[in-house]
Amino acid sequence: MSALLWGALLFLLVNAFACLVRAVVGPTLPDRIVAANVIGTKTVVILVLLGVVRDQVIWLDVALVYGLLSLTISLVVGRLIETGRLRDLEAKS
Amino acid sequence: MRPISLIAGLFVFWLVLTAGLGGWSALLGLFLAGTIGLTSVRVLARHEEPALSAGELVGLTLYGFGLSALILPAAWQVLRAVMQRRIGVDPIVIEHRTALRRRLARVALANSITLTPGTHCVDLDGDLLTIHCLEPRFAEPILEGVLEQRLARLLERQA
Amino acid sequence: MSEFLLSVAAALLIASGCLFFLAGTVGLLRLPDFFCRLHATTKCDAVGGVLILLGVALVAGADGQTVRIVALIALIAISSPTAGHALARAGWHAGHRPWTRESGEKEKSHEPE
Repeated sequence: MSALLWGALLFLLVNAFACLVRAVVGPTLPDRIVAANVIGTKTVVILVLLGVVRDQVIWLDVALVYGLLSLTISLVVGRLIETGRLRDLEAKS
Repeated sequence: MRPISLIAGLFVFWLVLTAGLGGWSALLGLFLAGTIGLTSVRVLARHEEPALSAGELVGLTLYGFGLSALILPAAWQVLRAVMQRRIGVDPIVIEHRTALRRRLARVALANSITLTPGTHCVDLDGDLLTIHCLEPRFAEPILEGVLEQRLARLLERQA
Repeated sequence: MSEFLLSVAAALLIASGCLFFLAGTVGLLRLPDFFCRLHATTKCDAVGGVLILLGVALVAGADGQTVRIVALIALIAISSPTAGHALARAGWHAGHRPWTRESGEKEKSHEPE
């Protein structure tokens, strides 16, 4: 079983690096953000796999915090691209 | 009422994550959940929505599970489209006015559209949905409003 | 016996999850523009992540692990479409217009000049 988990882990790692290509190349800024977001999701799964393979719960806590931060980053950067500023929640309505 | 349920939810989340750390940790969690709950209700809850009835909550949950059955074919379709030798996408952007009136129902509709095959909701402004479709044929079920009718039955029965 | 079945199910879930992640990556690299890439990443990443985590939850041993993995499944299932919406809307309002077949061909015919 742990061989399979290691295999999935390495596979996802390769995938994450492939996504990094898009983050470096990506012609527009949103492209790069999407790539970063995808890498975030993959990292969460990689952390969980590490935690289960090594049988340490701490990795899963790290994964939870990482996932929440990754979501926050996507939302905040999305707003930054959209409006050009971070404050002023009620600017549109 | 709203801050209480929010605080309760946060506290349960804390208990789940710190299971087995003892009483002081739970006390700290209660304090933190209270602080966060009250703060976020004060800062974020400016648009008061009528609360959901229990029946609607159950219905929405069931609808969510139905959606999760929908996302599998959606991902499968993306997988097939992506693995072809030549990328055969022909994206179009359509606009669709929804008949749903509740904000919650509209948001649920936008999420449903994103999770159905080949469509991705781009913008939701009032009742106007902007939808990006990978191919024109994926736009049809949305313009026919299949999901919309289901949501209307679920959330706007009284109106 | 049931343990064997459990690990087979977990292996299947993890393998199919990896397949969907691969589709997401390939889509991110191959599709022509930002909005199409969002299609690939939003759907495939959510499905792949949830499938892999479900498989892992089946084989996770130590107590406390399964609970956290279930929380993570909920997190991924909620966060992936949310981030997708936020980014699509951001790109749209920032003035990025989607690639269409005509605009793509125009670009291609302009390239040699």
